[in-house]
Parts: sequence; C-alpha cells; structure tokens
Amino acid sequence: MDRIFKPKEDPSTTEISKERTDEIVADQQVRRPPIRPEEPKENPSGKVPYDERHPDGRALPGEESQPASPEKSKAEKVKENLTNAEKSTDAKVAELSKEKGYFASKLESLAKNKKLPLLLAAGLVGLTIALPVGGVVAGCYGMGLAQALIGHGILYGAGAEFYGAASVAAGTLGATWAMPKIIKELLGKKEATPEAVKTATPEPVKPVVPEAVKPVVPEAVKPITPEVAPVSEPVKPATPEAAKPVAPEVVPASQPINPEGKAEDIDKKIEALEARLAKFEKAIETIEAGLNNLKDIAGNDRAELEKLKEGRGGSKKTGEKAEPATEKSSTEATEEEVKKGKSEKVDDKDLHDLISQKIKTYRGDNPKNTIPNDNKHLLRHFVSEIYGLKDEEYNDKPLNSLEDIKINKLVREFDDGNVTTEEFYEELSKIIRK
Amino acid sequence: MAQDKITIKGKEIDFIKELGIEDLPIEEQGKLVERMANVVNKRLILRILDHLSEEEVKLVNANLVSGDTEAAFKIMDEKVPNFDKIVSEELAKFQEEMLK
Repeated sequence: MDRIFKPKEDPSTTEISKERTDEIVADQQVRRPPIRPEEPKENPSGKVPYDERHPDGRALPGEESQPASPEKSKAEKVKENLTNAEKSTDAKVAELSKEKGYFASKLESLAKNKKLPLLLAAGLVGLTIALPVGGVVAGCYGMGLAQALIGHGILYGAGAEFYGAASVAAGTLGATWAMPKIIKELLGKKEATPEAVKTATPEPVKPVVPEAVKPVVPEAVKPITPEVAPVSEPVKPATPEAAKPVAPEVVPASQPINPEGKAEDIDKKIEALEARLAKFEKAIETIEAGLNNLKDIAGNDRAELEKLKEGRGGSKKTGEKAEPATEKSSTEATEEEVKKGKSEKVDDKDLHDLISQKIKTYRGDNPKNTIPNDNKHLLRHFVSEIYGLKDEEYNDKPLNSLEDIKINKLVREFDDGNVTTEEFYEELSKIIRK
Repeated sequence: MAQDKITIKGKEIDFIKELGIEDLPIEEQGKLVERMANVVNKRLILRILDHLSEEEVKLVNANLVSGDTEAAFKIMDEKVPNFDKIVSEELAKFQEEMLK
C-alpha cells in the first residue's frame, strides 16, 4: 500500500541522509505485520498481479487500465452522506421512542427485516426510471403512514397481514393524496401536469398487489385451521333445495397470533373464531338436514322398489328371460330405473348390489384387479348419478396416484362389505370431488 | 434513463445525475434510493406524528383498513394541512444533505 500512496518526491527533500533512511526503513518494518511466506495468489482475471505492476501502481503495458472513476467516488460520498443521514434520523426516532415509549423499536424491526419497503420497492421503479425522488416520496408517504400506525403499536400487534392491508391503503393514500403535491414540489418550475401525475402515480401502487403483500405475511397469520376443508365435503343431499352443499367459508385468519398478547387482538381473534364457528355450525345443520332428507327419500324409494320388484319377480320365477341376463344389461336396466327419477326406488341392498355389479363391470370379476383410471371416472359418474349429483361438481382430471390407491382400497372394502353404499359414496366423493 | 428535473434553490437539476450515481448499476442505484427513501420516510413520519394524536392515528388506521380512504384523506387533510410544505422541507433538506 505504501507504494500506491507514496507521495511525490519533493525536490527539496530528496536528499535524505543514510541514517535517516535506515531509520525510516526500521520504523516501517516495526509497523508492518510480519511477512508471511509467500503463497500462490489466485489470479482468475489473468491480469498482471498487483505486486508485479509498476511501482507506482499503474498498469503495465498491455494491461487494461483502471483509472479511478469519479462517479464511484461521488457514489462513495453519497453513501457516506446517506449513512450519516440514516444515523441522525434513527437517533431521532430512538429519542422519540424513549420519550413516548413507542414507535422506534417496532419500526426499526420492520425496517430491519425488510418488510418495510413494500411500497417503497414500487417507488423505486418510478425513481430509477422516471421520477427519482417523487416516486420514492410518494411511496414513502404511504409507507410512512403505515409505519407510523405500526409505530403506535396499533397495527403491529395485529400482525403483518394487518400491516399489509394498511400499506395497501396507505400506498393509495400516498399516491393519490400526496403525489400531485410532491410532484409539483419536486418539479419546481414545472407544473404538476396530469401527465406527470399519471406517469408517476401508478408506480408506487404497483407492488401493493397481494403477491407483494404475501411474502410479508409471517407464518403466524396463515389460517389457523386449514384442515377444516373436509367439512366442506358433505354427503350430497338428494333434494334440490339442499343439493348444493354448504361449503363453510373458512374465514381468513385476519388476526394473526399476537406476539404481545394484547387484549384487543385477542378480542378480535375471538370474534373471528366465533364467526367461523357460527358458519360451521350452520353448515353442519344444513348437511344434517340434507342427510335426513336423503334418508327419507331413500326410505320411500326402498318401499317403492320393493313393490316394483314384487311385480317383476313372478315372471323371473317362471324362468322366462325377457332379455339377456348379462351383468351389464341387468345393471343398466336398474340404472335406467334409478335415472328415471325419484319415483323409481332403490333400497340400500339393491344399491349395494348395483354398485358391486358396476365395479365388476369396470374392474372385472377378479377382486384382486384394480379399476383402470378411466373406469374409475365411469364409476364415479354412475354413483353420482344415483345420488343426483352434477358432473361439474367433480374433478375430471386424471387421478393422481394417491387418489388411485384410495379408490382401489375403497372398492376392496366395499366388496368386502366393510363400507356401506353411503360410506362408499362419501369416500368416493371426497377423493374425486373438485 | 429519462429523468425529470427537480429544482433545488431555484436551480433545475437532475438529482440522480447530480449525486453522481447515474452510472452505477440500476440495482445499486435502487439500493441507495431505497435507503434514501427510508430516511425521508422516517423523517416524514416524525413530522407527521407531531400533528396526530394516538387516537387520530387509530382513526386513520381504521379508515385505511376498512377501505374508507376518503375518510382517511379528510383526517389527514385536516390534521396535516401543511403536508406539502413538510414534504418539500424534508426533501430540500435531504437533497442538500446528500449533495453537500
């Protein structure tokens, strides 16, 4: 290093005595760190190693010269000024925090964990492209408001989701309320023309889309019980009025876990949970009503089917075969009856037999076989028709391996009599429902 | 990079160019600007907080969260009537600080 910064020799001081020279050298040796054995230096650039350069530090002939960039030094100065500005501002924030007991720590923590510049990021787009400071400040103001709110401890306890929402709103606020004023201020002699506003305004608002807000949401604010989804897959009621299963809306857990345990936040959480519970209870009621309705209809159907079978039974007993007694045709005949409507009644046992026959049709007689995927859909169609469901309620995409395994298992259990037709249908619905 | 001029002390300048960071990679410019924005941001917050009580902040917050930005604007306009002045003051101060 001493070679780089070696001062230009002043002609007036060029004559130095030998003693003085030795003294300087000795002094330098004392100050220098001990010389370590020379290690091979990596030189991926292929440039001449620094130590082999001209003693002045200049590049040797043929080497790319790297003059000190004035821009770089200016940038360094900017960074230095900026660091000072940051320090002084942070000190004021800390002072306020100390005075009033709020604001700084939370604000700073947000700033540190990079959650802060949501809007700012967009402001930067404006800044780097068109309006260097205007975009920033407009974004800033919106952001600042959210920060201020958080700083007051009002938003923070409620969590980052709340913060995100406030940022969105605050961003809009900053962009619409402050932007024209800021632009006017920034542009000085220029008037804040509508064009200028138009150019600058959208930029700060851009990142305030859910995608931008999403990453800010910590784990804690995720819905607390996403597992409630199965509740929304009730047995499909057969009655038109109850035909649509009530999918309980999972209330977004807008109130994240409150790290500070504020009573206000707990109240909000309780409210949200109560609202969700009420919806679930309502959904359960509807499902139960639908199920009861379905049972009534099945009972009626069963009775009517018995009557019909009694009517046809006589001819069978005589051995007459009105039509080929293939499994498929007999199944289809029963299917037709089922499809004709509610007047055609099917009891549980017959339904079970019907499904069994269908399974055999789709799978083959050997219970060790599995049903091909396409046929699983046919089976699903068949079962859903029995229960009066619409195709669009089902997922027609190819079954994944898990669904495939589940259906095969279900069919086996059904064959073995371990599951009722109702259970079979319910399980099948769960597997293939959209 | 098309940049609008800004006026500082009656002189029209290109702030980024004036700072001498226009030749830095955009990412680096962005980082610097982000930091600058943070500073201005915090200073604006400090100034704005002088004008709002905690209750008012709560109210503004509630309006923003509920989507009633009109109400929030109204409060802000009432309580921080000189916001543009505050912004221009802070901006000018900051710009001078950066350019010194």
